[in-house]
Amino acid sequence: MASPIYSDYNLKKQIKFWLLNNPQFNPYKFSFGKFYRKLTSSLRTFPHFIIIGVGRAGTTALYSYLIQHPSIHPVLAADGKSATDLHFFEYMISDSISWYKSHFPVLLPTLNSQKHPKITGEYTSTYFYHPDTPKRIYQLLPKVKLIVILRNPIDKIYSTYYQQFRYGEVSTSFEETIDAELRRIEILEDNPNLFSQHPGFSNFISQNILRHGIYADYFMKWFEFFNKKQILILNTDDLKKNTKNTLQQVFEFLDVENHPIENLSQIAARKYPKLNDITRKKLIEFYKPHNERLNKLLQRNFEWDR
Amino acid sequence: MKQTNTKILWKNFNGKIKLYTIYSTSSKKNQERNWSPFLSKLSAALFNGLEVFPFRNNSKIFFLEESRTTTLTHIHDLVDSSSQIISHKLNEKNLEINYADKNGIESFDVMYFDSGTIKNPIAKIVDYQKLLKKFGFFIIVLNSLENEIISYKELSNWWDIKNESKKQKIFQDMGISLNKDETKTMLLSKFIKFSKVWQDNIALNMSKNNYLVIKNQIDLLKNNNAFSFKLVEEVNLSSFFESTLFIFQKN
Repeated sequence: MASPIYSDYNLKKQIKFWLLNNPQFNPYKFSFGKFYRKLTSSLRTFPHFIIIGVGRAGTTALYSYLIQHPSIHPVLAADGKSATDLHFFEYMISDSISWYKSHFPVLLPTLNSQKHPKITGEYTSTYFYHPDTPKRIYQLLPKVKLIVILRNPIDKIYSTYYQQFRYGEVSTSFEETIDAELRRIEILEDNPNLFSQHPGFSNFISQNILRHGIYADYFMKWFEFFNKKQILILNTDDLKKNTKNTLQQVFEFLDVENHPIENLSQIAARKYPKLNDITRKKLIEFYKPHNERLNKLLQRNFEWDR
Repeated sequence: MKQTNTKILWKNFNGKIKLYTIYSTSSKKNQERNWSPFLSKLSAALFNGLEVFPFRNNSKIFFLEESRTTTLTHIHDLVDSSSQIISHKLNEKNLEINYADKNGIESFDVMYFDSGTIKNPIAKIVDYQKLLKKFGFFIIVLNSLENEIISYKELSNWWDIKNESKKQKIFQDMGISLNKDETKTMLLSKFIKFSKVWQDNIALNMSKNNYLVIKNQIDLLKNNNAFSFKLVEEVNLSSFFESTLFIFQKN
């Protein structure tokens, strides 16, 4: 069955390799773990909180800190490991709620201690931008707590650009990519009927790099369905510089005890060349009115225009 | 359900999105034609987030494609009788199309090129842009030419001598999560030890590295003084085709 290269491994691993190498025998990647979770989905809980964005602002790091808290259960993949972005509310298919629930633990209310309640949550860094996500989340989970982490839009979009470049989604330079997006905005202002009208267009990352930094536009949609107290808005700079205080704020919001988090390493952080000063100045000017709008809307003072 | 002026229609079936073009039958009744992203690169671009869709009801369109797909049929659906579509089958022989009589005359609103397996398409279509109206749109699809670059023998040689980090990147690109031990085992394996399916997967993924070829072509276009174009959009057609669609606008 197994070639000599697999001889060092136990039977379970050998079978896994053999199946990986011969996908025709398990084309749907059946796994008992996945099957068991689906079967028990009706017993499983819905998330108590969702980190809805924004991408490249520290969502992965924040989630990894939160699930170190003894009262916070992570989302689980079929193999029992922590799963990442579920994207459920973006591609929501009406009969897939059991699939969604299958990722969460069984937390029966009768067994859940009132003093130290256990909760669970998920994060999908692109929920924030999808036009239908606020309504869909509200319809299924009207009381869920939402967390958004915001980063200086210029740093966020520069990081997003390099992520998309690495994925092969864009091949042009950052400046060319931004200029092309500005050109599209201009073309569509003059000729709105040329818009392709893909129903989930605002969720596409590489097409909306610049616009995904205009946070105020997206918040309007969320506030149509959720009150401001239901959404905790964090700043990436605070998470980075005052990690403990920021986490304490999150734990209070989630109604769990404050707890020290051991591993505070930065996750998914990457290095890339310094942004050209001229481009930064141009972007500061572009985002200035939008940031002012955001500060007014949230009654905050994000100092990003420098 | 949303409808654009360009006669395209998106429909949502329990979360699964489908795209249609609307056309009129002889009885003048409107019909819907499903536009599969697996059969048409323009449809694939729409599914992958194309924002500016430059076809209007009365557009004059030049269409060049190597192998006939369903795209042209749908483009016909998008326009009305006042429009004009000139289409040619692209091949090396007729690539240098004789438009000498029209040279210098701006004529088309949209020019669509699927470069197929033509090598260095940019150099060969440089004159076509003269036929585009000012502010007209130039759409070009560049494709990975995997068959020309990767043979299994070459790949096998490459696999067996290349360093681990490069191989590891291939697994990452394939979206396969292996733990440390598993990765090590897979990397140490000879290429011929892999099953045909794995060999095909690796070959397919290697061909994706041809994006460098695509990038070079686009750089040629951007740096060619004969072109007075500005980039409007770039859409990777992954999930449907190993291609990238670019839209430029003539200044």
